[in-house]
Amino acid sequence: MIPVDEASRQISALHRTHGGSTFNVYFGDLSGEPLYAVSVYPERSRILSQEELDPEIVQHFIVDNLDLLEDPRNNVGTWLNRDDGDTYLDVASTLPSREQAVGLARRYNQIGIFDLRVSELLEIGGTGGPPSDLPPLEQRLPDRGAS
Amino acid sequence: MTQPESVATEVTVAGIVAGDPPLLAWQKRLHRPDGKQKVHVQWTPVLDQALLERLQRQVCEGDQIEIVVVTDWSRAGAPTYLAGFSVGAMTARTTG
Repeated sequence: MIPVDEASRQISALHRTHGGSTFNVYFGDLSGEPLYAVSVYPERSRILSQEELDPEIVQHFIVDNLDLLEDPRNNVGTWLNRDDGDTYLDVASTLPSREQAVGLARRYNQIGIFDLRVSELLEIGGTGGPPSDLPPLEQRLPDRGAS
Repeated sequence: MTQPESVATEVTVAGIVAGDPPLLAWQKRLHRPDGKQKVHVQWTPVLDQALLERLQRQVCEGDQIEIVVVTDWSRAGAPTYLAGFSVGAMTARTTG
């Protein structure tokens, strides 16, 4: 695992350069990778009223979410919204299979998935509202052996 | 950051999640400086009972509202809560 202080510095730098990042604490920057991101932990999302992302804040976010980030499918997601200058943080899950990502996103009523290879939102028709039978955090991703 | 931070932002209501505490589910379409977009989804605790009741009375899924979210980055878990919301000219805030 990349040391938390080093990961925080890298995420802060990526955020400053690109206006966002998807960062894995084992593999580093995931932009351009053939992966699809889904957000299934919305209670862990946070908003900040600043464009720059202080490495100390990132470090705080990583430590607070290590229980999820220890799963190599989960990542720190950051996004600068040009419309309001605020920064949005979340724990984003990434999957190599578009079909599996869409299935997961549908399961959690997500509006879309994010294609990291081309940085594009793929809308799938959900509302973002809470699903009726929400499992606990540790059971939201499929078993690692599942296809 | 030593003081709790308050952010006001316009969002689309996605629902209210029952629980202890209940959560306001909201989503917002974000645009990066390079023009790329994504949808951010966040569930924010509603700790104030009066605020929750006003939300349940005045807000429906799909409504565009302004919310005020407070986050304390100085504490473990960066606890966050809904401090207020407004629908058009009508404003509701916590009393605490």
